[in-house]
Amino acid sequence: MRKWVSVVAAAMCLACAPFAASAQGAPFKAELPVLVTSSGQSLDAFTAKTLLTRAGVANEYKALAKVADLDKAKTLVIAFGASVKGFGAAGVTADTELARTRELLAAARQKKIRVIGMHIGGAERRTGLSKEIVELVAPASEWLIVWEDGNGDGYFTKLAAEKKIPLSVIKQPMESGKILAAAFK
Amino acid sequence: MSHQTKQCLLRKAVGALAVSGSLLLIGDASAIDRPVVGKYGMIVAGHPLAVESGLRALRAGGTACDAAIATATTLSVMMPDMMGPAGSGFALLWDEKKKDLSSIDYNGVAPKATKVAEYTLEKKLRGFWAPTVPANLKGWEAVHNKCGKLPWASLWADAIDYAENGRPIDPDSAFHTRRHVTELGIYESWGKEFLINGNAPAAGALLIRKDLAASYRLFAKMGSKALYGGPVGDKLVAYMKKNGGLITREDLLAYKVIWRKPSETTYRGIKVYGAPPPSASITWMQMLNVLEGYDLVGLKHNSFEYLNTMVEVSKHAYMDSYKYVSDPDFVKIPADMLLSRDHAAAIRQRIAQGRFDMKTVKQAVLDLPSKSATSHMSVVDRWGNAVSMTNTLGNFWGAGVVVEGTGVLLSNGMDWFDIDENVWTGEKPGNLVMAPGKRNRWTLAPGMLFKDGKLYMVVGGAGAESTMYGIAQPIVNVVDFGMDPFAAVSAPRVLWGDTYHYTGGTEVHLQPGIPEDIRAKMKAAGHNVPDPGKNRNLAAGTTNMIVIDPASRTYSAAAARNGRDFASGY
Repeated sequence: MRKWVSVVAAAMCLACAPFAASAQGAPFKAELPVLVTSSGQSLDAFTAKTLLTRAGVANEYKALAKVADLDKAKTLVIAFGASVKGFGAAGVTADTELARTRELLAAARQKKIRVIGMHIGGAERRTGLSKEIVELVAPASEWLIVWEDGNGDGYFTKLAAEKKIPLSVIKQPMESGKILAAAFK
Repeated sequence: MSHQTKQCLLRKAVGALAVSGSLLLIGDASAIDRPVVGKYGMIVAGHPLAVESGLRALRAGGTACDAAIATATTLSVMMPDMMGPAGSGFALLWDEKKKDLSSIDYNGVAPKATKVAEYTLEKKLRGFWAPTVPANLKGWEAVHNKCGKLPWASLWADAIDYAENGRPIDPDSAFHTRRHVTELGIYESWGKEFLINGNAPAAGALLIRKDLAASYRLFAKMGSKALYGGPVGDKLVAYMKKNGGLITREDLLAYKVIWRKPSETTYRGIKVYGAPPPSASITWMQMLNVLEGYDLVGLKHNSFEYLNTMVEVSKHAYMDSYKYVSDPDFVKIPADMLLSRDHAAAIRQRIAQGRFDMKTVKQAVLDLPSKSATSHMSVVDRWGNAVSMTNTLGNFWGAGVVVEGTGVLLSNGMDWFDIDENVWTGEKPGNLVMAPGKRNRWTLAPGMLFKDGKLYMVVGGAGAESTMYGIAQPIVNVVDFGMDPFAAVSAPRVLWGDTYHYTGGTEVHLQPGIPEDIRAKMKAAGHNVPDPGKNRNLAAGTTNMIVIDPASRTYSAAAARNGRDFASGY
């Protein structure tokens, strides 16, 4: 498996710079079960969950997933970027959300769970608190799916190149479901 | 009269209105950066074309009520993220001849099938469980029946044209479409209605909405029956059933608007009226009640002492609002007590003692640029009749669900109920918990002021919880400090709390323009004042108002810079 991923990554490295994953294909085969969560409590995670479900990929959705929720997971999808409403409604603070995300990412790394970062909320989820969340989640992801609206400054392109993270830049947020689901098939 | 004859007459009426409008609108006073003055009619509302539709109605001999409906129907096409026929609203109507002020509650109700235990935050925010029973159409019709003169159908003419043929999307609508694509794109009907080839349209693009135009033709022809038991309603019910939604034909047929006695108080000798609960007018009225006990002019406008007083007064008024305001059919609301002089004096005493009894609320975090999620209009006609009307879909784009084949966007009124704890009082369940048939507490808060028995001000605003700050402070600016309407709605304000009742928050938001030394004093006094640009609550109340000169009876109007409203009159 790892070897296969390396071959794909190497091929991609040769084919294009920075590490751009094909808009149609995933850089690795993602395994089930998959846990979908949020970092920032926007509804972007709910969108990811909905699109995955519609594509026939069974998933568990927990906007405020904790380390214990990773017990059965082999893939973790994090939709990241902050939302005013989600935060308040969830009764969490910036500090607790950042701490929860850190713990989740650390546990995923330890348990060798693949982390797919989705930034599909556009430019609005790049500033303010989102900046801290983006800088926490994006470098820790093994595959980034990003709506081009949020990559206007090339941040994700640059990060992907520096950290050698496969990057799929999509033209419309709804495209994310198709390419994400394809990783599980 | 045959259908064809009616259609012919309608076309003639529409044509006449359009011609007279286009000719007579030349010379209208319009502005966005100073007060607009006029003698025969004045409208402040969320989009220039909507204001123009209202002015056309006035030019055609219509009343303020006619103008309000014409404004509303066009607004629902040009500002679809904010309001529409399936939303909720409140209005105050002043009949100058009868000297009669009435208040209408056309707030949507929770469907009969509502089961609070089965709701999640996501389900009440967007999707098929988020809408309350549509109400605006019925409310607009009731307003027209009470005080309209023009044919109902004529008030839909512009809206039908704009939906059928499209008009350029303004930058605000384009912005709010784009920033919701991720969240709402999962609802196919929303994407089909508001996106072009799957993408958010840019400012200036034409959005053609044939289905909506067809629905509006039915509304124009049949009135609210088209929705409540008619063909549009049938489509809504079928769509709900197909997607597991809650609204039924029974819900639609059972829905009724409620005429209520306006809330009343005085501020420095001026009679102040608002829509009673579940509207939140009572909150800004209560603020005025308490503020009356202070020499605000002596404190000096926006001084530390002034702002500190405003914050402390606000805390108590909002605490009462969160604790008591709800649907009076479900919760006993001590409205008379809340607006009593004794209660105002007791609050001033508690402020003097440094007491604030609300529990410490959870800290929320805001990251979105937030503008109004509602739209208020103020209207006055040549006879001195007036309408103060606020319409909403709830959050931007309401439920995000457009009824298939109708173009009609549903509200997310359910999101404004609690499903668990009232974060401010700790009650489980609290006054705001959802229940079948219940009306939620909205921050829609229309107002009217009367001086010496004559209409003096029409006022209202938008911006969720910031709405009531945005109304109280501009009124003080006019009454205490003699500001003109533009200066009054544009002066920097202070806000305390958060945009949404259920997110809590205790930050003090000082709008740009309040000097750094004042900011430092507020911090030193113990207020939670974030650095500029770091505050959660970016909404600031997008107020608009019309002030009537007591002597000349001419109109002066303005809209806050931070909103999308536009004033025009003649």
